[in-house]
Amino acid sequence: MAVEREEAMLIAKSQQGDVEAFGELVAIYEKQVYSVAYRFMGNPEDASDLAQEAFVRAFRAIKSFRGEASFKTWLYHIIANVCRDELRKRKRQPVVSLDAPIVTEDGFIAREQDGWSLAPERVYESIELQETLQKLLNQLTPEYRQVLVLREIQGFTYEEIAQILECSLGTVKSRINRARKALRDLLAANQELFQRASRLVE
Amino acid sequence: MLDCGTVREELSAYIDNELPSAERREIEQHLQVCMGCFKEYMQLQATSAIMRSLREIEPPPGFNDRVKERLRQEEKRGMWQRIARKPWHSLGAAAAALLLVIGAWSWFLDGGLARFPGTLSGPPAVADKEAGLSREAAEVQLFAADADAAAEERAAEEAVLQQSPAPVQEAAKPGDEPGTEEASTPAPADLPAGEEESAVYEIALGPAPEQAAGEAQEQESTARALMLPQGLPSGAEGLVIEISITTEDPEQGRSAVESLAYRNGLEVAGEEENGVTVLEMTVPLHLQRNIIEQLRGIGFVTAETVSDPELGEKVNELSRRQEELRQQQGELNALLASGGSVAERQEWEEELARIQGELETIQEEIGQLEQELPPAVVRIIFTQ
Repeated sequence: MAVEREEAMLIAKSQQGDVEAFGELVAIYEKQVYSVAYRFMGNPEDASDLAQEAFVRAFRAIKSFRGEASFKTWLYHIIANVCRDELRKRKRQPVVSLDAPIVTEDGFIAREQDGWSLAPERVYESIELQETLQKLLNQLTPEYRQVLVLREIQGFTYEEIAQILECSLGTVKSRINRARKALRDLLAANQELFQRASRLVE
Repeated sequence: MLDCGTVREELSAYIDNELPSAERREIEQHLQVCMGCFKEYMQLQATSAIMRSLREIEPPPGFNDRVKERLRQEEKRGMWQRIARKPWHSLGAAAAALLLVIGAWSWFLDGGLARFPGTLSGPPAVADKEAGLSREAAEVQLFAADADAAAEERAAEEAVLQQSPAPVQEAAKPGDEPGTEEASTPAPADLPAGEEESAVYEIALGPAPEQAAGEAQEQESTARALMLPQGLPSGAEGLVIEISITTEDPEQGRSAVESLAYRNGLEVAGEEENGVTVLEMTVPLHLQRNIIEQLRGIGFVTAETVSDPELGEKVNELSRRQEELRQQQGELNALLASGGSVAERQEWEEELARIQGELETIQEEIGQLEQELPPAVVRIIFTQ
């Protein structure tokens, strides 16, 4: 409660143009905003630039912040837009190719990859594997990456994601499902990773 | 009993605990009897767990300071100057801006112009009237000092020094504001910026009294012909769009615009006088269509004018096509994710590649336009 009051006070001061107060808000949220940017963009330089840009935009617009959503959601909204715009400006990253999926009789993709379904959390703990995973993530379309980052890393509910992305709940639901399948296929297609994961799980 | 297709569409929502309990139970029952779906479920859950193992990352050292540094720099330069530094400044900053005005024509025709002198004299006069806008006033004045760069730097530094330590008190004593600013700003505040601003206001509002009352049908085309193009300096590349809207509750309209702006991280500033609300926001070109469409939903649009209809249509057409392609892309990705025969998949992949190519071309074109043109300054006027 005290934390919320403090945040509200910092927001009010920032709305009056107090850069120092806003700096304190930045300190509270920089790690989260930077992480989102990093996961979207896949490298520290872009992440740093865009996270900065998001905070600057937030400061410019903070007068119109009225607490209709939480400040955090609002910030995510801005960082999500900043990253999306940047990705659109650049050449599009290759769309996930759903590498040579195995099509079974019933038409669904199914792979024998039960191994990594056992205890995968532990598998990706090493820095190297985190990097590999980020590379796979970079191969997804920005839309897919966006929902996955918001859902899995930031832990937003579907409702909150719909707010952040300004789309319907139905869109969020189907996009997360498709994004997860796409990532699943990328994981499965990454033989080396898969083998290592399997070994670790065994 | 649910079929496999439905279950698989719901699996992520099931994993994320986003399903109502009845649906949840149905999925659970299905997973107990269907090996295929159960496997799919295990895989998606594993994917989710792997994603969640990604940790948060510390920003590089000094990140916070850099953000603050940038904000202080901006304070120094001031918002108007930031806009003015774009290459089109020479064309007349505000005049060349993409300007969207949502105004109430009925009000103009009523002679409301005289009742709202602020619009004619430009933002400084409007802003001075209320503490909430004192910063804009300061910014305009800082911008005005642009003619003498050294003086501006000095002035800005002083202004920042005076502004930042006690922002709250500042707001509490609006009367002090103009004096304080003037004292710290050597160059007087009526330099190019002021002229350009009022020029736009005159462009926007000037012709209105000439129009005959009524004949709403003709208003738009009349306004289009009379208003902006002839008022713009020759060679101006910017696009000026005016949309006039009447709403039952301007206050509600105002908060709708503000929440639209804040959701997109856009700047918005506003003023209210004699029941007329004027808002202004800056909109990147690629968001223009989207923003305007949302603005249209706010109230009854009585007129909409475009300074350069050709350019406006071009931007719109690009955005429209982009949306269309993105939708097709989504549909194809959905198809691909759901299976299909080898031949079908190949066909979809090819189509996706083609869409991708066209999207890239469009993005390049939009990017080009955004480099050449200023962002939109949306000026919105509400009346009842």
